[in-house]
Amino acid sequence: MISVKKYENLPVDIGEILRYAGCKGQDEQMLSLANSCLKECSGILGYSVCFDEFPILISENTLEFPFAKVKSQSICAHLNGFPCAVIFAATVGIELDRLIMKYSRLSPSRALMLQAIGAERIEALCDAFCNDLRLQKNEISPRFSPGYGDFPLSFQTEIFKVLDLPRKIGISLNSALLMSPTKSVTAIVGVK
Amino acid sequence: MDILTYLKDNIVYLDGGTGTLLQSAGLKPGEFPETWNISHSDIIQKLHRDYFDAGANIVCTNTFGANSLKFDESELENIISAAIENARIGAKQSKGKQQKFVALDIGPSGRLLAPYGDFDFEDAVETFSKTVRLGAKYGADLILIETMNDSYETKAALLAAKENSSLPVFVSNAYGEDGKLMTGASPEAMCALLEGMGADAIGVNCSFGPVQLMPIVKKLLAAASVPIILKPNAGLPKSVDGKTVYDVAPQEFAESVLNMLKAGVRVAGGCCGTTPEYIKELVALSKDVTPVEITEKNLSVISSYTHTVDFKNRPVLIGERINPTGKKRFKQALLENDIDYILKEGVSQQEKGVHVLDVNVGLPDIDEASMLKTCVCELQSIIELPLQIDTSNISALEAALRRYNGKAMINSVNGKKSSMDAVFPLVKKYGGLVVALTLDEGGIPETARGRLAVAEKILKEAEKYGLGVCDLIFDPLAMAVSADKNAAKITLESVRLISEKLGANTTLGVSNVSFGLPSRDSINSIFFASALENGLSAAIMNPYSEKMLETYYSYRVISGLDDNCLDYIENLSNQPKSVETASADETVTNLGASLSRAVLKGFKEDAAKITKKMLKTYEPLSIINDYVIPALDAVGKGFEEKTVYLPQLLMSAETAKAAFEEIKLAFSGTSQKDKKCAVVIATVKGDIHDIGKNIVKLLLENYGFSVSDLGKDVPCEKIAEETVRLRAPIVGLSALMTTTVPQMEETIKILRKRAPWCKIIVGGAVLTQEYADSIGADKYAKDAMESVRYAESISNSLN
Repeated sequence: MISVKKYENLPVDIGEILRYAGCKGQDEQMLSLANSCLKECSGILGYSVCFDEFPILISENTLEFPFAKVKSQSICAHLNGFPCAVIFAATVGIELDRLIMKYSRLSPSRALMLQAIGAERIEALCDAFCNDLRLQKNEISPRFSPGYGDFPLSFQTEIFKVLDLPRKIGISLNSALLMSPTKSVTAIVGVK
Repeated sequence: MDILTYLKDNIVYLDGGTGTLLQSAGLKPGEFPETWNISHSDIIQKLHRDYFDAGANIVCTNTFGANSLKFDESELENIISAAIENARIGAKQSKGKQQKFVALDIGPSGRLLAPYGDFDFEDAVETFSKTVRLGAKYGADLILIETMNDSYETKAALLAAKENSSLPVFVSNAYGEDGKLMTGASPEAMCALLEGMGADAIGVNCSFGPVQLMPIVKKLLAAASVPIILKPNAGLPKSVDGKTVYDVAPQEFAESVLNMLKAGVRVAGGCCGTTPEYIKELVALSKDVTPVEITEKNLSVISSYTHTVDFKNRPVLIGERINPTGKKRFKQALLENDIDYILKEGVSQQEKGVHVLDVNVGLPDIDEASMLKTCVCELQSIIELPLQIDTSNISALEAALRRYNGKAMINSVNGKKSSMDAVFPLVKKYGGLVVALTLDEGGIPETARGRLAVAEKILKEAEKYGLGVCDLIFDPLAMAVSADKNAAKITLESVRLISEKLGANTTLGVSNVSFGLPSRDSINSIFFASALENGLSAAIMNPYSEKMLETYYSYRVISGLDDNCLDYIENLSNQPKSVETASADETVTNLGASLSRAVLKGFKEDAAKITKKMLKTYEPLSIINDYVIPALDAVGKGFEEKTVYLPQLLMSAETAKAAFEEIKLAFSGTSQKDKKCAVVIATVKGDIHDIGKNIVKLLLENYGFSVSDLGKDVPCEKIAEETVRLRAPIVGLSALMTTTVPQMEETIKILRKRAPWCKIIVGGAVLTQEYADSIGADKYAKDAMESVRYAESISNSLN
């Protein structure tokens, strides 16, 4: 069954945010920019994950789901030994894109910091989801996304078909296989 | 009997879920349900028959995702014709005696519209149009647009339905937990948009069970003058023994929906997880319910993609600053296609608290239709205020209304027949609250009674189009009191007469009254206060004027509109007084040092203030060359040496830009000798990431280049055209993803053919030197500073 899970108040790692923004140390000016951006976007971030579990078969570098097959050495190696996989999509929502769009016209430094916040937030969301999954299962693999290694980005279309993402959590795929909201992730996790 | 006639006196029952039932009949994950119209027509027909047997009046065809993005032309035609036929057969086979109708079901396209996605609005309209034309051709009784979670896509679908059929159209949206659409619209905003465009019924489906949808339904019932649709899920799904089950049973579902029928809902059915049993229960339980009469709400509202502005909550402030009249700097921005300047004007007015932004970009030397459309799209992508589209050019008006994501205010129509003939059909088609100027072929009447008569004439003509007094807002024209001492009196009297006699809303371009006089704010604010006292609903005004804002907030206090004077206290207690704090030593050298420091540290406001002071005694070019550029260079060098971080570099660049803006403001209109050559920049087709490109643009502008920014997701032809038009020596292309790099290669090919003189810089996350070489670029720049250095070397070689 396709399920949707919401999260709230995921802890913020400001060091990670600064790292994504290209800052190496914790400069005071940058810290205050990051904090002011965090304050501005705190009310508009939403954390949603949509997921489903499927049995998988692996043979000759081909991964087979009940609904699609894909040839890729890296995903097969990654999921080797797992009888099932959870496919998930996570997003922090479209409002952040709107804010980034606004500041990319008005203040690129703020836009850059908001991008960094988005990157840190979506990673935090994926981590939180995978941690929950780890508690429910005997064993899980690290997450693996289309576009990693030789796992083709075109597998995104299959994920979108099977998880009904536009309807379930408002993620859509464009003609270049990019997702909107931009701070969204799709990934596959092997589970036992 | 047609559906709308039937709906007048009856509650209309819709069918329930399809997806869950098809899955239990063997539909596989990822398989398109629409193909079952052909491959499993017996199952689909039985599903429809079961719903009709349960008592549904309308069944929706199994065409939720039947569009040209998923199916080719002949497949689509076969699917839609089979789908409608299946529903007809279901109706014929059913033993039910009720009135039966077949609705062509249209769901979301699955693509997100620009600017957040890459699906162009007109492409969306065309996609839905293809489905609508087939539905009409094969004999659907009505169209049901459903489960839309984006207001803009909903508008595209409704427009397609209206332009390609004469069928009744029902529109239903899927709201999120926060009671809004995924892209932000409130139920009231959707109501304004959809009613304005002539939807026959509107409502809500999917998302949750009936109880959770009640608050949304109540808001719709309060706002809408058309029937309300409710089509909830059977609660929330959970997995039991590997099967999906929903947590609200038929009886409980029916009881909740029954309550909403009693509250006024007129069209009811079920969505995900509901089955014929749910509908049967609902029909049985509600058989004795008398349909609640639908009343006209007579609201004067406009909307943006998030919220409405209701003119009942007067006075409404409309910011007048997006208008080139008398503003050299604004004209220059329009001529240079400097949209960022216009956006900043919008954001600053929003910060001052206006409720609506007037948008006027009429200038003799520009293509107004294209510019107005661009500005409307750009403004609504970053500012959530509703817009007032201000133009006398009818094709510009239509272009802007079509793309507007909401129900706009339209400025304006007047009592001349030619004006009414041109404007009213557009108001009818796209929706809108239209400003009606009380003038006609005979000019502006000299008396208040005369202006009232013109207003009455306009109202009478509007009624022929099905528009009413709540769709108009009269402007009895503020005239310069310096030319006629009675001008203000007559206008005030007209405001009073029109609001009293017609019960209509009124608006004024307040600032006109003081034309030709000194200290205009004094006259404007007292005139504004008097007009409010005479019943004025809205004012087009200058929100940067402290006196006007003081008048507005004070008026609300004394009229009992400001509870506990909260707005007044919040907005007026901390007004910074613009007293110049004279620093001890304001020699030019000291000021210059402060300016350099401001740029180094990224203090934007300081830089603007200091520049303003320096301009009184100092040459603009020297300010740039002696203080701004050296500071920028120092930051740029720090960045290259990795002692300054990217956000710091940007803050300095923004600060330098603030200084340049002051210089531009003081010297706009005069030629700028210091400009270096033109650079065209764009993010290539398919790519919607533009932060990197914007960074490069900012720095290039800082270093004096004349940058033409084409935005993101730009087709190669457009980039070539602009390069040829400007004969630009440099083109910068950006792409973030591997999937869009081929577009970059394509663009370079076309540029080589059409603009062989230009040098091409490429950049973006996935690019490397090797990749840049392989696609034939002249330069791979790893960051913004490298782009600037390269552009400078090209620019120097030209001189």
